[in-house]
Amino acid sequence: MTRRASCACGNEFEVEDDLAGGITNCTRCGKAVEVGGLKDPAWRLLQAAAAAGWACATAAAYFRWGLGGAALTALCLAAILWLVSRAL
Amino acid sequence: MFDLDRFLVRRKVFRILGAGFHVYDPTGNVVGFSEQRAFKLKEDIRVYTDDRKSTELLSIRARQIVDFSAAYDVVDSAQGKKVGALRRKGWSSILRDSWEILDDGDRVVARVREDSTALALLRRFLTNLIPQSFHVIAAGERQVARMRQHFNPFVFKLDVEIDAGCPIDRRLILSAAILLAAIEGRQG
Repeated sequence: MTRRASCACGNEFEVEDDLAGGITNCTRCGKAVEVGGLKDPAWRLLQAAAAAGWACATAAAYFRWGLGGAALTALCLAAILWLVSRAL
Repeated sequence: MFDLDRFLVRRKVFRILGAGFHVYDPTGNVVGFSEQRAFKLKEDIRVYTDDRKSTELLSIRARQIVDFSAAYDVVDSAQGKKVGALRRKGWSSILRDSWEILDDGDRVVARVREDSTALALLRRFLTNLIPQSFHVIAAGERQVARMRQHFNPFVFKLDVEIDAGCPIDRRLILSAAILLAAIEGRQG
């Protein structure tokens, strides 16, 4: 199995699946490139839990405060989750 | 720092979050400082020229969150290039710590092995007071470096000795020593 990695220089290339979540050197400019797509099951579980939590909180906000409240909650939680994922 | 044949990695004692390691040259001068960052799902270790973290030299990052058989990519921060990786052999390490040193194309160039199975078992099941030793073995079963933990139950110190004609990138050997101190040293 292979997956695609893309470098800031514009090069897109194939890498081995073992490199998922890791770093490889760009085949054109040689700079280190992060390979996306964690195959880690623990990471997937965390992502699923975060998505489920986000959906539940948005639904609860909808029943409590209506559409406006749900939209605000969804937006705030998405921002928090984004910040947390950046920090991790 | 990367031209030294001998150096010592010493774990910083008074540190609440994460972990810190000083690298000393044979005369006792600090030539590097490494920091294992706290609150990271994936292990993230940086190596700097000093403990003020003025210049980052290396970045060692895990590919996965669960580190049973995790691989750690080593990037030269100044050049912005990956120099190789270190992969812990999870199953073998249950009885005897075993790592692989990979080049930038993920090909195995050397192995790091705990000194003996008997001592490794004693450390695991009887007492962790027996200091660990590791051998770095390159192609052709040639030992090219040694790492020896000092007998000190309070402070983790790892002495690293590299042979003159060692074909392995010294940045990878330093990274291996820091990872051993950070990952295996945590189990003690």
